[in-house]
Amino acid sequence: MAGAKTILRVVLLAAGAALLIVFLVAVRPEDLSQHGQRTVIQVWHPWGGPMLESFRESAAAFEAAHPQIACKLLFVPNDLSNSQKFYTGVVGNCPPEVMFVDGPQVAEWAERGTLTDLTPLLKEAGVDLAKLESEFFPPCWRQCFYKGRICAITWCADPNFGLFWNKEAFRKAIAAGEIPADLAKHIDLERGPATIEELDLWSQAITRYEGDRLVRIGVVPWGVYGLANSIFTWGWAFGGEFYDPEHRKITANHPRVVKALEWICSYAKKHDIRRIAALQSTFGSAEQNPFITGKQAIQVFHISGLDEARKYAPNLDYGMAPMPQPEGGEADSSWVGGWTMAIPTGVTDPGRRRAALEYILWACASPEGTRMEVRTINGFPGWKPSPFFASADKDPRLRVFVDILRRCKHQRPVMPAQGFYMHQLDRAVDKAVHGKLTPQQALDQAAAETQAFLDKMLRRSEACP
Amino acid sequence: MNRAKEWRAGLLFISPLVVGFTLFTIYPVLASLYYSFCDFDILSPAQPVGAANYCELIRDERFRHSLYNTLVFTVFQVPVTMLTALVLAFLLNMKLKGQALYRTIFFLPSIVPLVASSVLWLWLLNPDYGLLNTLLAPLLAGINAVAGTAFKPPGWLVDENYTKAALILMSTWGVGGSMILYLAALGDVPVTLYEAAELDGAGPWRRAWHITLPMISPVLLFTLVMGLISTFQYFSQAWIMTPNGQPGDATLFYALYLFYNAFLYLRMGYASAQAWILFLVIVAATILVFRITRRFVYYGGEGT
Repeated sequence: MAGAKTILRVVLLAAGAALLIVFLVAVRPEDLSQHGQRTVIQVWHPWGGPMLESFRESAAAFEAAHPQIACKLLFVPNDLSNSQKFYTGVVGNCPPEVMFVDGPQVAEWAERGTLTDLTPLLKEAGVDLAKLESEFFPPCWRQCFYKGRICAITWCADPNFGLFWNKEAFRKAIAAGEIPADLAKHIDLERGPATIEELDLWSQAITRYEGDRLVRIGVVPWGVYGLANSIFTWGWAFGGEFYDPEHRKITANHPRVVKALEWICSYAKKHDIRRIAALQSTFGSAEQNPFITGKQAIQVFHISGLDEARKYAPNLDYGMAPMPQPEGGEADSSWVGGWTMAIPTGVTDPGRRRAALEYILWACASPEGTRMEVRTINGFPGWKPSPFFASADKDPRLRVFVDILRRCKHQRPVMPAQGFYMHQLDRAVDKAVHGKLTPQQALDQAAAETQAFLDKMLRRSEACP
Repeated sequence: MNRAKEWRAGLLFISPLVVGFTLFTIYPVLASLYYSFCDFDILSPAQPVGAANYCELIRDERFRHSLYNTLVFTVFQVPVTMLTALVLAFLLNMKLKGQALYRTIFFLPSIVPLVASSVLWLWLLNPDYGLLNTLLAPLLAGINAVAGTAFKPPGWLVDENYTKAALILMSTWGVGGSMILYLAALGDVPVTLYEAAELDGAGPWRRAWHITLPMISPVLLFTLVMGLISTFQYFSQAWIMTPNGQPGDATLFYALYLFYNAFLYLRMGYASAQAWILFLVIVAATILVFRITRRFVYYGGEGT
């Protein structure tokens, strides 16, 4: 019987060791140290590199103004296909108190039950909800509002996008006789291309081959920060819509979106997509940014394009304007991207919830917090009263983007299959520009597959709310 | 030491492995089998759905396409890399001055981190500016001039007809591991056999065919099976070099589609079903390989 006893002892020992491991993993140090006056909140953020330092300073500024709260910052990568740590945190019942959520993720995460409804918390804190809503740019508010609940608050607002043209590259090409005089007379470098027809003309004028090799191009319509973002951008500019919230219907094959994709594909046909891809694969960043080197003389830029130009080519002469549109399209079309902040499900301690909300409101909707946000990522706040806008209005270049944001109508569809949708749009554009499917077929397929996915998801949540 | 003490000591020593293996391998494997019969999004409790995931997979056009891509890729990639490794091993087995240096040089690429080598190959494979096409262009121009043809350098990663070929070409760069195994096996072939064959008048080709290959056949079989398993699970390079299986789903490999289902679409049950089908495919392929090669593999000892 000695054998059985030994086994029992070993089993007990192993169980003890396992318990110790679980204890060490599950109990965070601040849980043990929370006997002082300060409430510690965990903040999971995606800011690395040079942004991290500014973000730390921002949290320190919050702590200085709120001595009863301490922020523990943790870098957690988060994109549309890489949020496992967050999911594990929520399922394992040890989520952070504050989570940075990408705008298009909000509805999906809310639908999946991972975000706390902020509405009662805001009311409890005495926040006037109508006033708060009116203080945010409408698309910034809409992307956080799902099924009648405020699920997050917008931290930064990206006015997507501005059209940039490299005046220097055009001037040089005209001087060198590379652009024929009859085309050159249509190019007004101060005003820029205001319609799709003008954009086509400008692009055609600046495109240059050396033998068989493409060495310079104008705009690359599918090169707007990924294929899905490209079709969103041009689809709206052409007057299309991607989602009908009332009927919960995916409208990727909206006739105007199809028109936009047909136009995108015309560039792939005109220049042979392989030639363009070959040129694109030589594009770099920083000083090697193709816009700065002149290899791509017209580019659709995020607000960070300004920063890049300022940093790496301070003397570059370029123009910028809102996106052009075709006849029947949407003037000054744009959509909002950017990050939001939320409280995950599973944060049950009322003190910590209050502290988390206080931090979110400070970061997203206070003069000091929004000032620090701009310092961290050089992006705009979503909160209109931010003092940043008064100073931005004085900068002629920033002003263009501020105006784009003020007139902005769209955000990516607020529905729970957003990640899937973007992936299907990505595939649709890829197949269309490579001539595997017609634009209509590609978008029909994307719409049908996403609709099936969305319906399944909604049925599931209706079955077990 | 009495038996009980031996037992205790033995259990204690193997406990890290047993606990770790049970928790992190056996449990997840069994759990994935269970989840493959469920609708499961990680965040809410799994709902049993019977064989629905498997039925849907059969109807899923992208699933079939990813399986096709992976099979085609495997059929070409495994023999090409094995042959490259074998030829290199033969060459590096020759008694040359600086042999160790050459062996090191040819082994080096296989220890370069995957991401770094992938980025490097992105450059090499650039259709207009890459080294490969810069070398190919004059060659093809010469052929075209002589034969009146109109061959063009391939588009590699930007042309869906060449993406798989490009990835296979790239994987020949990392054959150092198999090459080392072959070198070790070659070093193990008894010299007496070669001497006897030489006396009997066998030339180099016959010696290689009738002595070297049979003697290293267990190692060849081993690399073939391991190659099959890893190629069926091919992921990283495709993920880095051809995002979303583009262009045109040409590099939408099995593991890539599985990853999308599991982590992008949060269809963990569906992805688990996919993983189990892959497991069965690999098991079937391995059994087939063992069956086919039974006659050709020679074990000097008591192996069968």
